[in-house]
Amino acid sequence: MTEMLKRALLVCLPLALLAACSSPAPPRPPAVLESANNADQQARRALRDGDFPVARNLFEQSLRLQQSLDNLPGIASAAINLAAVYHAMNNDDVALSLLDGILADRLAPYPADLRAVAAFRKAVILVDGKNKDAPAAVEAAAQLCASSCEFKAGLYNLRARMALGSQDYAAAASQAKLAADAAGDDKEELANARRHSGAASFALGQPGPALEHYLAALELDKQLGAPRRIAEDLRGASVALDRLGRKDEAASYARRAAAAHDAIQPGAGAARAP
Amino acid sequence: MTLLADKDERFKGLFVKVSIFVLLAVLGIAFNFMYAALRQGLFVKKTQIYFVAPSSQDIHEGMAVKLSGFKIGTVKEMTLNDMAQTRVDLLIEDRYMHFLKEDAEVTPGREGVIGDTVLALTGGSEKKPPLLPGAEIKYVQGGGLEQITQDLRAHLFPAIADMSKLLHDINDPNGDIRQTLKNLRELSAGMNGTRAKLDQVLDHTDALVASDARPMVQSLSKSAARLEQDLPVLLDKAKTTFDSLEKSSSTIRTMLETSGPQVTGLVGESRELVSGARKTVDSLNNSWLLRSGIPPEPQGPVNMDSSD
Repeated sequence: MTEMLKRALLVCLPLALLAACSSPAPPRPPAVLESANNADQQARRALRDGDFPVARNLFEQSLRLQQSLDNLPGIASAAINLAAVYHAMNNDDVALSLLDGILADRLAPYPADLRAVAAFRKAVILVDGKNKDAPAAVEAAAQLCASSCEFKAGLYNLRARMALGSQDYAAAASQAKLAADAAGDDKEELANARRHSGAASFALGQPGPALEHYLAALELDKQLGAPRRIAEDLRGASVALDRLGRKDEAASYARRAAAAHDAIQPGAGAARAP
Repeated sequence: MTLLADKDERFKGLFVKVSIFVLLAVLGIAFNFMYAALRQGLFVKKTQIYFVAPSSQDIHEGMAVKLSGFKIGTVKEMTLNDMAQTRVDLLIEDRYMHFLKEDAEVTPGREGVIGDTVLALTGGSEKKPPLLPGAEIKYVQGGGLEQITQDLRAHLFPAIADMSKLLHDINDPNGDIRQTLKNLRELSAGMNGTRAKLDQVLDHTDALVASDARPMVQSLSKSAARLEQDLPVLLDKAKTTFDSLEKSSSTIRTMLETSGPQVTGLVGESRELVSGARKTVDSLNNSWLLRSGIPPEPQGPVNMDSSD
């Protein structure tokens, strides 16, 4: 009898706990909004997997559905994401027109934080394309970015990239240091800042600090699992080691950089021997 | 001293008479020559022009040069030039030169089928300037009998060669034609056997029709007669069946009308059941026990940094 009671308690107690801790289901969103959210989630997965055409179609579907609901935050979010996909597909004209649609329409009450994101994404695209309007776009994004803006480190990194492009290595090192200080827990921007610092230090004839920055960036990028950036870090470390006279280590890093680079190429052949 | 005694009256003035006779003869001959020279145009003023022909064949010195069938000049001389071609100089009477223009052409021809060879000139375009003395005119190979023969030869010889090849192919025992004929022969031989078999089949068909088809037709005729007798009964039965079916459908309709609201309710309840299940799943997703295992769906812009 006691055994039976114990078994009954073992079965009933979890069920009672489950019932007690359950909360009423949140109200379901409208069907169109749910479809838009589903398309958005699927598009994010496709973008994460590198399937850009599918991500583009799904974000476009999400944008249309959000437009049909006149959901301005949803429209801005879908347009920013769609612009990111077009930028990844090297179609910067369409990406910029999507972002300008948010930035130029001052009358539409888009959320300020999403306007700032759109401005930041526009600056990234223009800096990537070495566009002459890139400095103005970065400053415009900085104006939209309030003191607690989450893109502060990113903006410093964009300035560092522009300074590296114009061979102003001292300014690049300075901006990269500001980016590292502002990054906080943002490992992506911290890794970017260390990589830019490495490039600036190397160009300023300081291979020792450059190696230190590249190895720090490599560590962070490995944690983030960013293959393209890992290859860049390895290549930078290899060059710095070579300048320091550590030829064997430099050759080893160069081989690892080449292997990482080849491995991320679409349609690459067999992996290299380690 | 004279050798002959000039006593006969008939010999008086003989020298004068003979001299007059000889003089008249010489004048006559000279007149004939002059007349012939005038006829030949020796005293007509001429202009020299020339043309270059690939060969001197059918051209000779003194050959007549004609324009629209009238002789207007002659071939003066023929020489071989540096290019091993024949330069032919013509003398054209001045009074006809105004007919000849810069693009005048000369063609070897023949007066009639077996007549002399001549050079036929064409005057050229009216708009072109007149031909100058010493100028060259264009030579055009004529369509004479020889040319026609050569053209015919050029066309005929390949045809003869083709015919020869065709004959060779026909005579070749392994050629397509002989093989085709052989196959046709074998086919026709086979056709004889086929025809014999076909005749047998037809004979057999006749027998079959006589033995089987006739009874079949008779049987069909009997069946038709029987069907004619039974048809009214069958129609009555079919009518009864249709009446029964109509009654059944009426009953089913009544049943559906009766149970319709219940079915509708059943569907509605099913929908509610699905909705309830969805709510239950949502509620479970929000419960503390399962919530931790389900990552929240990301919202807003995709997280991208300054290097993306």
